[in-house]
Amino acid sequence: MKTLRITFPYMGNYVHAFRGLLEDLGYEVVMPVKPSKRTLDLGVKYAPEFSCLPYKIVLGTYLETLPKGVDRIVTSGGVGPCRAGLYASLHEKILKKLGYQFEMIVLEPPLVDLKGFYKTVQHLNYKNYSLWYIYKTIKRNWRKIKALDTVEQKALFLRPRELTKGSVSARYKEVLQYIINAYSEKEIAEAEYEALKELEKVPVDLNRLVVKVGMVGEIYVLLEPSSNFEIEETIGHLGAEVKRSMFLTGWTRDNTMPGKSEDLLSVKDAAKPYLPELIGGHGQDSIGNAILYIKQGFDGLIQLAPFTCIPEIVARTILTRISQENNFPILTFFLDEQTGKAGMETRLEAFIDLLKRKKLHKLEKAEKGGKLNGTLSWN
Amino acid sequence: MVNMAAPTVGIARTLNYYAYFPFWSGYFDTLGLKTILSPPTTKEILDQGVKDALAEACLPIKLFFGHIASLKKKVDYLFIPRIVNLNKKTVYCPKFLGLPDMIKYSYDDLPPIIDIRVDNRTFHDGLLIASLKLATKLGFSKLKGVKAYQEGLKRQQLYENLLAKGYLPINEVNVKKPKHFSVKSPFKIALLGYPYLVYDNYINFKVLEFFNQNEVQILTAEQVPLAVRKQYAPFTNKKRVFWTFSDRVLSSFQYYLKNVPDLKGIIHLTAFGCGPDFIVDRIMEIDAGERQIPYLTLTIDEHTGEAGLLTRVEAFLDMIKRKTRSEVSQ
Ligand code: SF4
Repeated sequence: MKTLRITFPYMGNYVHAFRGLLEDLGYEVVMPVKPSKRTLDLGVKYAPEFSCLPYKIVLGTYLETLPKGVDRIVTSGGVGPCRAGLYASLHEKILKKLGYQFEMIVLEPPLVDLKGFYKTVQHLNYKNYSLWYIYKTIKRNWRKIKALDTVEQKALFLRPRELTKGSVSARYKEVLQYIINAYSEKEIAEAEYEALKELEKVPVDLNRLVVKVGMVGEIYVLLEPSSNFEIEETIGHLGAEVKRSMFLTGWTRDNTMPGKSEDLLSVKDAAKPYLPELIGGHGQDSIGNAILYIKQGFDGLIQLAPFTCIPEIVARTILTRISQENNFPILTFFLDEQTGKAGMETRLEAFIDLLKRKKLHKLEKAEKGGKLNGTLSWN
Repeated sequence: MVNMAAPTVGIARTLNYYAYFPFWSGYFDTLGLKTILSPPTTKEILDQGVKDALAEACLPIKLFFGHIASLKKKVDYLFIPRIVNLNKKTVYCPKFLGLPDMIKYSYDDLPPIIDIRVDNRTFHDGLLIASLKLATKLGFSKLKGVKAYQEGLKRQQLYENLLAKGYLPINEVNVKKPKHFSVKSPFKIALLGYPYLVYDNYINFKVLEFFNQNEVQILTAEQVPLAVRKQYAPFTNKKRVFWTFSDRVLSSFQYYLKNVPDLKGIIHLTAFGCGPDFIVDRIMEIDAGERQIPYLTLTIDEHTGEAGLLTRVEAFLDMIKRKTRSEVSQ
């Protein structure tokens, strides 16, 4: 049987787990390249003008990989009311119009249509591996995703505390390879352990006063750093710790397991007084998480949204009030192809600066005029 | 409350107004509540909305903010229902779903908002349930609620029949004195878009009048009855678009494409910043292209000038006329 060539959209470190999974299913994987300026330019050229940034980036990625010869594209679906659920169908239409021939396979969330999901998986499994085999390979790569998430979270914590600027990022890049190269679950677990240990060796100042920033928004721009100009790294270097509201492990769990996790329930409950309706995308989560971050004593919030993203526009309108009522600074970025890294950095600097001054002020007040000790530094 | 002078309920003359006002007017009339509409869109209303709404919001949402701002001081209640689903299949644009919340958290000086939720996916007749709930909340009996609901349905039916016959609601939805706005002519153009753009004379620069003067017959999405539209599944055969108004535009588009042999062209009227429309627009563009039917996208934003818009329409019509002439002479 001919070995089929397959590709998928680029999304953060997760591509390495997707790759493993598809290779185990007997595909030759045509790896999507990390989105670049060229990717975006291609996307912008062929996408409808008002489509949102993730749509353009993903289309650009396809346009870069399809000429290499691709039989299948596999991607995620969705059932609205946000647009993402229709992305794949429109991508397909546009690409076929351009003359490419391939098969688009869309994985819809299993919770919505379990039978359909099973059928799609069987279709993907063109070499007819046993269910047991598939289960094992999913489990193994799932473990990999978890390891990737854990190590990334560690980097987010360490970055604002590093003694030499850039040292965490540099080390992080290296240790990531451990996990990428691991195959069996045992190897992955070991790699994760090693990676964390290595990261912890980077010299840091744990007493440094660091402001904590929550991050909410639309899933793609949250998870794919090239779409948000590596915002998390920038924030870390400005001396703030980022807590991202969404990781693939969390998201997939909430969307695949019957009976929602406690986590998600509380996010929904937190959002309800402000936005009782599920409006698609992650609009309700953005609000719920904002409330939770406030309760947990975070210093501020950043919302990332593709320009024209409907759920996030609704969320932003309401977040304005939440920010006023709680005296809680919130910064929103509406991202499109015109967004520049420099402009973003300037706004971030001012924002983090504000958070630091606020926190300092609060601490000074708490000490009632007492002197602050010397460990305070803003690096 | 029933004994006092009838309380007034404010309704914005935009968004859902063009689709469902007959129902709600019948409903509130029967209850004895007075509905007060915001005036037809004006420059002031639009400017106010642009000021009050989020800069990134689409034009129609800004417009809605403006209409609410013009109403809020003049009424006892603001009626902003959360209409989620009416046909068991499609939902409304997410901005519709979050409408009452967006308004609530953007203004400080609002009268109470009636934000009754209508969802047919969870109830057999969500509209009836919502009607009853609202009636009892306002202090009326259930029976009165049922009567109001029935009157609403009656008017709605009447209205939709009129639309199907080609009547166009220009600025006002009026089942007693409907306006027949479009000429009958062999020169037929489908003007597709959401009702709050197509029928709002201010926001579309009276484009309907313009067609009228130019002897162009206009076909709109609402002229294709739901029962007919249902048979036209837009998009790839795998998936329907899941927003009600988009589904309406796309299925009527398919209908016109297949059933009006002398269709001269298609114009898609869309608003700046509209989320669903980038999908709708590209689908229509590709499909119309395949059938070689001239296609024009008109995007309106708050800076669009009348001259610019109508010039483009004129050029489009000229192009079609030239095309037809050369086809004839061949
Ligand atoms: S359908 Fe489009 S224009 Fe209408 S409210 Fe939604 S985003 Fe705005």
